[in-house]
Amino acid sequence: MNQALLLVEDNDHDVFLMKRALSQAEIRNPLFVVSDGQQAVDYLAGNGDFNDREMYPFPALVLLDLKLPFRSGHEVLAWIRNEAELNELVVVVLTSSDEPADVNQAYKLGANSYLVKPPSLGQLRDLAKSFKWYWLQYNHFADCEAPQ
Amino acid sequence: MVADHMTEVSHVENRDAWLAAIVESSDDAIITKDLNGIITSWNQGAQRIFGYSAEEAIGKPVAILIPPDRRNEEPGILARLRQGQRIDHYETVRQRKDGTLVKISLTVSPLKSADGRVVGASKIARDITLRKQSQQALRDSEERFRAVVDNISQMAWTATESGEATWYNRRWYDYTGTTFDQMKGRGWRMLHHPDHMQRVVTNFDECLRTGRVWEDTFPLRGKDGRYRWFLSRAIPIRDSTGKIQLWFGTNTDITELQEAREALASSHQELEKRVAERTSSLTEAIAQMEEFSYSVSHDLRAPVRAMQGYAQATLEDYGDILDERGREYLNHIVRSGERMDRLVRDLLVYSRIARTDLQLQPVSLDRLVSDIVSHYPEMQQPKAEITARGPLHSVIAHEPSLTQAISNLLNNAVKFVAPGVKPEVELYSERQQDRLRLWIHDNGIGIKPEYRSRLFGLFERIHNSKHYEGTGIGLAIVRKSVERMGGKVGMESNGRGSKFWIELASAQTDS
Repeated sequence: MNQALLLVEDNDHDVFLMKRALSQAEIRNPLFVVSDGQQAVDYLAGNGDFNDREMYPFPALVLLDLKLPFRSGHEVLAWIRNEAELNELVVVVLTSSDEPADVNQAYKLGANSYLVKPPSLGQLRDLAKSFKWYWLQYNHFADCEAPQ
Repeated sequence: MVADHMTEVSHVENRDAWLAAIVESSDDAIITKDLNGIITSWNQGAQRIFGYSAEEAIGKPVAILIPPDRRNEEPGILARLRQGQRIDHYETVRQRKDGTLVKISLTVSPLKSADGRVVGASKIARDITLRKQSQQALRDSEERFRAVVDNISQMAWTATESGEATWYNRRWYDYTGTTFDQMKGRGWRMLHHPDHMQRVVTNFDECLRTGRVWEDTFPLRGKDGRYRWFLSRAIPIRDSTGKIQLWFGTNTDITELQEAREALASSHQELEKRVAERTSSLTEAIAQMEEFSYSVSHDLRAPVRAMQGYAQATLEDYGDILDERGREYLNHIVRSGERMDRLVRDLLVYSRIARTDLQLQPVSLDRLVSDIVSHYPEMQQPKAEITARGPLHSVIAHEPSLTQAISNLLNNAVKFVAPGVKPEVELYSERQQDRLRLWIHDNGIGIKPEYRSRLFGLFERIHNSKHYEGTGIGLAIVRKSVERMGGKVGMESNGRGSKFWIELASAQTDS
């Protein structure tokens, strides 16, 4: 199983650290990165260049930051759950906010999991390993077709 | 036959005597005169009223009874009698034998002979001095009443039982500038404001119909064309049989009262508006605060995470080409980053406790403490020993906030111990009426009395950070959360460790 992962993250440093942690956790899945909420929607909807699913495969799982330009993570989440074809898409929120309001809102909108970015690289690596075991080794994904 | 005749005769004789007795016993003067005005009969009543006896009066001209200034009345009366006319209840004045005057009511009827000719007149005179006096008294009292009612500050009026106005006091005319001719009947309607007239008339008619006291508030137009507000009231005045004779009404000017009421209402409105504005600016401030907290939690922590992450990555990837000092510098960056992140997180917790709505409910301290201890390895054996002396009971609290507060206290209790000493913490609870105080007694380094007042303040650190890690926010969080749950915190230290306490409402009602 080598499904694609989509990381929605506007902070380049966090992208770097996340990529590093994922590779240290030996996650080999192809990782695609978009840096704002609108791009996330476009990627998932296959708008414009993203229509090419050879280049931009439909992901099995989305790692979604909450604070994003143009469309917030919550808005992207709401859009995803509003699209019939994307109901089964696994969305894991990965954010620095541990505000109860953010957590509650994310679950209300249909997030599958909520992870808070840990402060240190070591902890981030641990998180990446747990993520790998749970979501990529043991978890079964539904057949989620890319919208046409 | 004889008997019948006798009966008839005696009957006729009896009837004359009977009539004579009636005439004699009458209080009124009953006099007859011929067409020349000569008195032909005179009863007891006539003697009583005029003072002449029958002997004195009969045969005299009736003019002896007429005062000199009224002599001209008699020819008119005689002329009407000759034409066979009656004079009914003619009120006039006559003179007594002693020359004094007497007010009488006169009824004069022509006396006709069997063939229908007028041969004289019967005259019934009633002494009306008493009636006149009581009428005068009534008029006097009415005048007094009007004098009083003319001078009261209210407008006043009377109306018939069907609501037709019969009189207004002076205040009414002063204010309205109208005349009685304009106002009589239902003329008062012209003074009403068109917006109110229908309602006023309907209510008034309803009261006229039911006899209920009328009360209403409405504007009336003054002579300057401006309306003023009046509280109006009318009561029915009934005669001895209970029938309504008239309505007496007043109108009290309440314009000032009304204006004061309106001013009050508008100032009340103004106040509400201001409260709403303040509330909205407060709400805005809170929203900004939330936004700020959100920025803190997201934007401020991101660069710290990056700094720390890159330093760590450098250490991991290039550690072997750096010397010991270079690696030490990077370690400082990593630790400072960790500390910065913890500070920001603690501040967030503090601000969240200050701004969230806390729902209070019973919380078992025994379960809560055991949950907390199981969550932190440094509170468990063999690193530390935390024991509860007796059951800790339950309090009324917001569980997440109380968890935060007790975790912070237990973390401090196991952290601030002398080097090499195994932390031992004992918990127990004390009930004081409806309050429950949880004690946390440690074997730590204690706190000097001079520092105790600063202990629960924000950013207060009373131990050297070289030896004891901390952000200086932990106890501020404890105090803020306990206070927001309606409780208190405090501490005692007697040289052998510290005794912190949290006091909240007890969840048990009996002891």
